[in-house]
Amino acid sequence: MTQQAIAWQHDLAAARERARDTRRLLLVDLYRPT
Amino acid sequence: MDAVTYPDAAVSAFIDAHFVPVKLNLSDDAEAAQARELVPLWTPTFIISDGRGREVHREIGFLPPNDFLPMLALARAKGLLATGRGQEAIQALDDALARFAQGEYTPQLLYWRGVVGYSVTHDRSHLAEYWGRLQREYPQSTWSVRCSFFQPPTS
Repeated sequence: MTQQAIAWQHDLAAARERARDTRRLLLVDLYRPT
Repeated sequence: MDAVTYPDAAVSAFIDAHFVPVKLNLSDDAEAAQARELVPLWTPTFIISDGRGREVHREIGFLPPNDFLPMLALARAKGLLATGRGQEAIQALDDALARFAQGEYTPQLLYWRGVVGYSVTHDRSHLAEYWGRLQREYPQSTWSVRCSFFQPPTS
């Protein structure tokens, strides 16, 4: 089975617009690289 | 998260099915500026909101797949309830309780199953069933304490 990578976005405003258009929720991960 | 949780096939499939995923690096000036309105206190922080930015759930700290998945399921149900999709919220919690029958999030799923069922139907039997089960099966849980005022009817 091929591993499907998560299609992370890095533009909060654009992601909110997509969430509204698709009636999905937004999952935001705030992180610092370790 | 990138080493353990996000590569998990079930996690990536659930995110792909139900969420628009966003990662903001707080060490990057431009991305940190976007995150400022979300008031990050620590990392990692996970925020689930609707498309208008209305937050329905927040968690802080690393979560392995077995905790991250039920957290996402719970957050999704809360989001569905908040956006007027109550019956879908009930179904989402029923699915989560069937899938994550025993785990760190099970008491919280039971708590919210009672809340969502009652909120949608105004039928106290949802509280009696799920809060009663929570009190019987997880009496030491903080979620059991939170509904300890509730006395399930005796049958």
